[in-house]
Amino acid sequence: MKMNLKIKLAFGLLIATSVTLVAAQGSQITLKVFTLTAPDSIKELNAAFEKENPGIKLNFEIVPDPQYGTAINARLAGGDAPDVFGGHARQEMTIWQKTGYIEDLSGEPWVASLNAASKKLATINGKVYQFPVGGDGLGFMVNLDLLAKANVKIPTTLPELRSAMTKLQAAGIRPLVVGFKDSWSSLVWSSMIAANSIYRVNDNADANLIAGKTKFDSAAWRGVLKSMRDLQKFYDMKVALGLGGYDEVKNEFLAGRVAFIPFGSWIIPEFKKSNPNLKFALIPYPGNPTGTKPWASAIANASVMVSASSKNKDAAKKYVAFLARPENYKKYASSASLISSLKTVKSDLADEMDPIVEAIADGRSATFPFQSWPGDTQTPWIEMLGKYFADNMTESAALKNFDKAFEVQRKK
Amino acid sequence: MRMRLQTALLFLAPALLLYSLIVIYPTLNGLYLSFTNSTGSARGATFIGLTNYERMVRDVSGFLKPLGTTLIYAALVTVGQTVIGLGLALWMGQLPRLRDAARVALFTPGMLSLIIVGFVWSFIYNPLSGGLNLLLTSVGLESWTRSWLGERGFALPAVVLVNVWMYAGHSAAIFLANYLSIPSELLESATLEGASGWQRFWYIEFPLLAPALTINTALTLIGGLRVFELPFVMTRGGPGDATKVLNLEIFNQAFGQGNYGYGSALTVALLLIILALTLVQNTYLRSRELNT
Repeated sequence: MKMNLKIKLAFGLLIATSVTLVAAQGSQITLKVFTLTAPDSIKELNAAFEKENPGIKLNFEIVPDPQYGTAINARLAGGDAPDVFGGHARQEMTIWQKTGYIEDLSGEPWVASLNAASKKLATINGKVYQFPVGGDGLGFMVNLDLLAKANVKIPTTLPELRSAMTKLQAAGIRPLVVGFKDSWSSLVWSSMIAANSIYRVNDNADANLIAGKTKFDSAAWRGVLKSMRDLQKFYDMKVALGLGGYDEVKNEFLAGRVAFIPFGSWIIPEFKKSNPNLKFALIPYPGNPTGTKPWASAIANASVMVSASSKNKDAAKKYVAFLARPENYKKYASSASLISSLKTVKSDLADEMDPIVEAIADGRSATFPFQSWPGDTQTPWIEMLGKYFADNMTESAALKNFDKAFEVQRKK
Repeated sequence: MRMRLQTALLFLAPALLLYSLIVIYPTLNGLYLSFTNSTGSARGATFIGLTNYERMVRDVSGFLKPLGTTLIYAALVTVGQTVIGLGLALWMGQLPRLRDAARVALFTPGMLSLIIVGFVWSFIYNPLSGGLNLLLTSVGLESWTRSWLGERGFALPAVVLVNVWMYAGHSAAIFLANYLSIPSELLESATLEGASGWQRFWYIEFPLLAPALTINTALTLIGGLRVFELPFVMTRGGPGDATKVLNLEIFNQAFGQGNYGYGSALTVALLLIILALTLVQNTYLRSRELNT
């Protein structure tokens, strides 16, 4: 049977189309992105990325804290590294750079746009290993309704804070809730106190510690610990030791049962969504003496890294560059209430952040110290504070223990 | 027909291969890592002999104290779970109509995820708005309210209680199976002879429950020594180091500090301790069974 020319052509076209489709499917890359946090705008951004790069499909997964650290470390150690993955600012980056898990991103186009603080945060030995997605302010979250009820103004110095908490307590309002069970509160609160007592007056405090010229068992750092213990009549140490510093403290604030909690600006969108009636503000911790202005503690938010063992490195770098592109980054940072990490972009921030943004813009801020100190100093600091509070240790004994742990990290 | 050795090996090969891949190789690799300074680095690890083990026996806060806490935890769980499980089994044994429903109800907590249970009980123990303190307050026992996970003397028992709550039903099911196999004539004749309830339990039921006791205590002891999830979720080892069990320290060394070598040495030590204690316990309880 002879085949008609039209049938032959149709048959040929069908084969050609099938081959093209199979080839196109074969060249499709699935990029695994694994991170600890992302704003609402990420869905829109990811869709735009896939549209712009039809050959790349994103497999985007978020595992929030506190599970993220366990999950990503298990995947990295097990040889199942995602192509792109997140980290907490700097702490993991220094470890993963040593273990060879992360790719050098120094040649990427967005590196030139990073502001000085972000570039410093992302750099090890002159090479850039991560894209810091922005900064947060750490301070005291204040319930404005409860302050108004007790006829108390927002405090701006330590004596004013004490006076405010005394009045709140007299009015039957719980002034302060902190949770030391997982030490989150003590970690951030101690950094705020240090910003107002140590970094406010000494630019070289960290450099001297890292160089081994000064020790933590010093009057300045003993003062930081003592300051937390001195205020315990406002929060009850036993309650604090049995309370989780993140979720449980956050829930108390969201329920309107407490006037002050130590927290960070990233939680503001969640607060506004969960309780739209809550009137609150994030203020720099008023731990400063009379006659001075309070300092904020500034913490880098999550960061994005590329796996050194990824088979899709080019696509992974393309994705990071897409997020760092000014118009995309503005959407990302604004949606997460992040202070911009790029010189070329100013993010839209929630009004509740005004006091802390003003302090940072005014130069009254210190970097979260664990992002400057070498290696993982956060774990021993948490352990030290846990024992200091639970075992009623002296400041000197507790800090001597931490000096030993810091020395180990410093020499690594 | 007798199977030739080669044929038998051929049939066993897939299972042996799988077992080697997922059990034997990781165990041997873990043992090897314990003799290295591995930090999980892609650049490999150096063999350092017994250095990790020498460090371990001098490490008070990272090994000796967590080991002590683990042993106390395991002892409390073993005693608590066995006694309560036995009590529940005897209760169910005497209530045939309720038995099946009670068995399912008691078994259910043990089927839940440890992580979820840990979070739920953290909220129950919350010192500000937790269910336990609210309940005590509502029945006029406000003076009993406390920071359950924040006080040294209460934190470990509070976690133990959750463990016992979860698995007492498992122990009860094992005891019950053994209890139901005791010939009813024995118990009836004891009753006719004038034995009291306590005498019947102590001289007849309890000795005949020896096999269930052996299994229960062995399983509970091993589970107690391997504990990780509940303290990890509920206390993170605190307050201070009051609930820091050995597995928390292993996790912290390996995944927190990146000290895979030292973490592996701690794991090997824990494995040997579990083996030794289980062996001693089993030898004693088996001989007791034979004497019965």
